[in-house]
Amino acid sequence: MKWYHIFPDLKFYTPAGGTGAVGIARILPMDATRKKEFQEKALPLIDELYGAALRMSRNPQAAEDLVSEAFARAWKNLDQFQPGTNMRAWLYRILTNAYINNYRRKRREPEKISVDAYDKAEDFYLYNRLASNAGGASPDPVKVAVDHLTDVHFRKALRSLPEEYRASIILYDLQGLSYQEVSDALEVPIGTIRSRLSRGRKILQKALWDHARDAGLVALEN
Amino acid sequence: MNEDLMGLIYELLNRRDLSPEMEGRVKEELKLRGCCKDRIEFEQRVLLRFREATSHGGCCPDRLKKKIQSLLEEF
Repeated sequence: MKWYHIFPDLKFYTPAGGTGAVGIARILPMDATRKKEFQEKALPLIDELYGAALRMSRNPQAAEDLVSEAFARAWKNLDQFQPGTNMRAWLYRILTNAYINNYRRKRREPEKISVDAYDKAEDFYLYNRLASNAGGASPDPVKVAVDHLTDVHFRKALRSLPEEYRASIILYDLQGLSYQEVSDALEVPIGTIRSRLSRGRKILQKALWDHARDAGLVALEN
Repeated sequence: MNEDLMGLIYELLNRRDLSPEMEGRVKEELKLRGCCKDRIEFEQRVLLRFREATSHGGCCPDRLKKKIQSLLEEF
């Protein structure tokens, strides 16, 4: 009978490097220090993670479920977290994966990014469009777009983004993570994140323009 | 710099990934491309509106905090 049959609840760690071809396993229980460190670093992030979950799921109950699931997974898999690395990014990765897995489960087919929607937004700058629409006689594009569009319009614009772009926009522009943290959370290279942000922002601006036009805030184009 | 104009403006608005030296270069590049202060303020306002509109109040309910605390005590 092996030792791990006698002590199934113990997790073991191999020190970095080891000796020769095989490291020496040191058997240690999940120590109180690691648990304490997790509680000290992770619990203060609950509000922030809840905010991110709410932006992703747009539903308070779903957001609560996501955050509970993320913390449960993080706690159970604490041995996979490397001390000294970025716990915030690690938790965001777990949260984002939980959201993506739930989201994919609900969709039957993979989401296809509409090339047409992207192409139309490719060089779209809301500021320029509002300014040229106003002609000489108007006011400040900010007053038109930003002050008269409602929260609903902004939320709809965000919802209209393909999921890949939406995740990057939410984590970087809205939640305030760094490029590296977003890259770690989504497990894609920083270059890909920057590209998604660039395209996502333009699609958002095009969506806001469409809302402004539909709300009669800007003149219809010929 | 290869970033398009909006990318540069957002680098400045977010700042967290910019060293002081890079911040100076971004500002210079924006000037070279004819980007005015109004434009930067406009993009800042749009970004803030997105943050406000999607924050939904943002604070985690107390029952969730308690649930997570008990989860951590279970293992």
